[in-house]
Amino acid sequence: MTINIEDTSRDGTADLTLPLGFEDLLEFVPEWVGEDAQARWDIRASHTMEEIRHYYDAVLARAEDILTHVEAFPLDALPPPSLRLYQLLLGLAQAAMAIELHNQPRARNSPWPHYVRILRGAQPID
Amino acid sequence: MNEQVKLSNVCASDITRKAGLDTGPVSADPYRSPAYFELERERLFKRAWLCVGRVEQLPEKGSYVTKMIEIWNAPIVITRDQDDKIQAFYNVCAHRGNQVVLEAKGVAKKFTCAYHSWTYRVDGKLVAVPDEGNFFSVDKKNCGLRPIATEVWEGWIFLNHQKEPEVSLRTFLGGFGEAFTNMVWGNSTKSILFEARLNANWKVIADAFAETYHIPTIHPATIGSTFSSRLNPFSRPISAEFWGPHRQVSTFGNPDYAPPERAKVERLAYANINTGNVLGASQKHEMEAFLAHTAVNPTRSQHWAVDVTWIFPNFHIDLSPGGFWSHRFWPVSVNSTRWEAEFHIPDAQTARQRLQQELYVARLAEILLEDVTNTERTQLGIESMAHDVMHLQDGEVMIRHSLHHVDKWVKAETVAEALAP
Repeated sequence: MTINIEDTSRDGTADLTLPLGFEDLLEFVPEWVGEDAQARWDIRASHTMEEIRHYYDAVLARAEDILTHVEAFPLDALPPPSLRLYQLLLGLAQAAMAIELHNQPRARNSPWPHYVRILRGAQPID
Repeated sequence: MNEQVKLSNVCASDITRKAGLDTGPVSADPYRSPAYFELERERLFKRAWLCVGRVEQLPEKGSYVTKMIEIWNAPIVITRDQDDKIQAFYNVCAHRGNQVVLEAKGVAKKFTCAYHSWTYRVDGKLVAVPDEGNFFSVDKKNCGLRPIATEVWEGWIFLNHQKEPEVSLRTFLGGFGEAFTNMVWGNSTKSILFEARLNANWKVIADAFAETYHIPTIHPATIGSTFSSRLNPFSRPISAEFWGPHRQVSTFGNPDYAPPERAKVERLAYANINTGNVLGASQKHEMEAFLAHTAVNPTRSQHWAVDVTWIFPNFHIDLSPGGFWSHRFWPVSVNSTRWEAEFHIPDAQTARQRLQQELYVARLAEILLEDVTNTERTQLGIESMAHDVMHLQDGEVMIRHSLHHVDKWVKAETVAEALAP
């Protein structure tokens, strides 16, 4: 596990901020911020349908705003709060599996936990 | 409208008989017999050319990757030397057998064994033996890393366990190799990689990705509506091709698929991005040269989704409107397998494109999970000995063709005999 120095202040507590204007999404930090695709998969799979729906509705409502915010920066050089915000948005892809496809938190007839691992996800941004 | 007539215009029929294969039930024993597995190890996996990846994994002089080939019980290292030659070696020190390279990948001029510092160049030559004077008669020229027969076809690296392979890679690939010459392998430098160790025979897992009959049942939510429609409710394949032990099925896609109203994230992510279908991440307009190749969508069907190409024995390449991906099925024991799936996509240029790729990864993960966890239940059922045979339909022709050729190799005394028509 790697620790992002920029995310950790001197007293050891993590920086959990989001860019100005996205305070309404702070309730999902850090719970729904996965550091890579595998982590985002695990987060969605370990929540209830109600929790997934709550996150999905809130972040989907701000999705275009988040994309607009993030597109002001180079994608591979997002400041930490913006990266956090964008990873919060990427979690929507996972939430969509539950909300838009399965109507349940995980794929039908699939075990949890399981052995399938995403060793390398899309780039840039883990 | 007579939908039966329309389906027969879209999908080939009687593929199995046309391929010269029997149509009866097939034995379940090759999936559960330890003795058969040992025959596969010796006569199939130690005689056939096996694909271990692509040349882009070794981007510069001195690049190397290490792997474990479980079916050979062999740790290996593949290198690109100073002359740009790609070569695999046993990753085993000539001194006392320790593994020389411990990192998964990297760039090096030399490898130094972590046990006694015997040092090798990336071309395998032994160049340094500490306290050499205290040995008795070590001939350094004969103590390099032991090479493994290595050949490259269209950027794909193949290895052969035989010291001097009975047939060249070109001969082994035969008509398949010719049909796929000059393929445009777009985005081959970037990939998404999935892996799982599964409690199932390697053929159970390879079979799971070789037919689309299962799609409406196993994947109703994830891709059911991509691969089937009212016209083709059971996802019959469009066509099939066979080249010696290699094979391809062109699968049916629903050309009318569009994200449903409720798929809000899918609509958001795919706005202004056209990937052809949900199994692609490259934009359609970037894929023109690839799509123009005669081996891609070979019948030029309007209903085409994916060409599933199965290179004998354990390697799949899949071609879709959005590009290509591959599966490798590495047998570990009669009922355990390491499976790798690699999907090639471009680096995202915009935040929206990166979100679309995340959705692509998420959907792939669900589909693959549905597929591979099903294989463990299948293996358990097969091993129960409840049934002696399996029943294969026409759309499952690649499984029948695979079993036929596996058995041919297992019984053949020579590779030439195994490859004979």
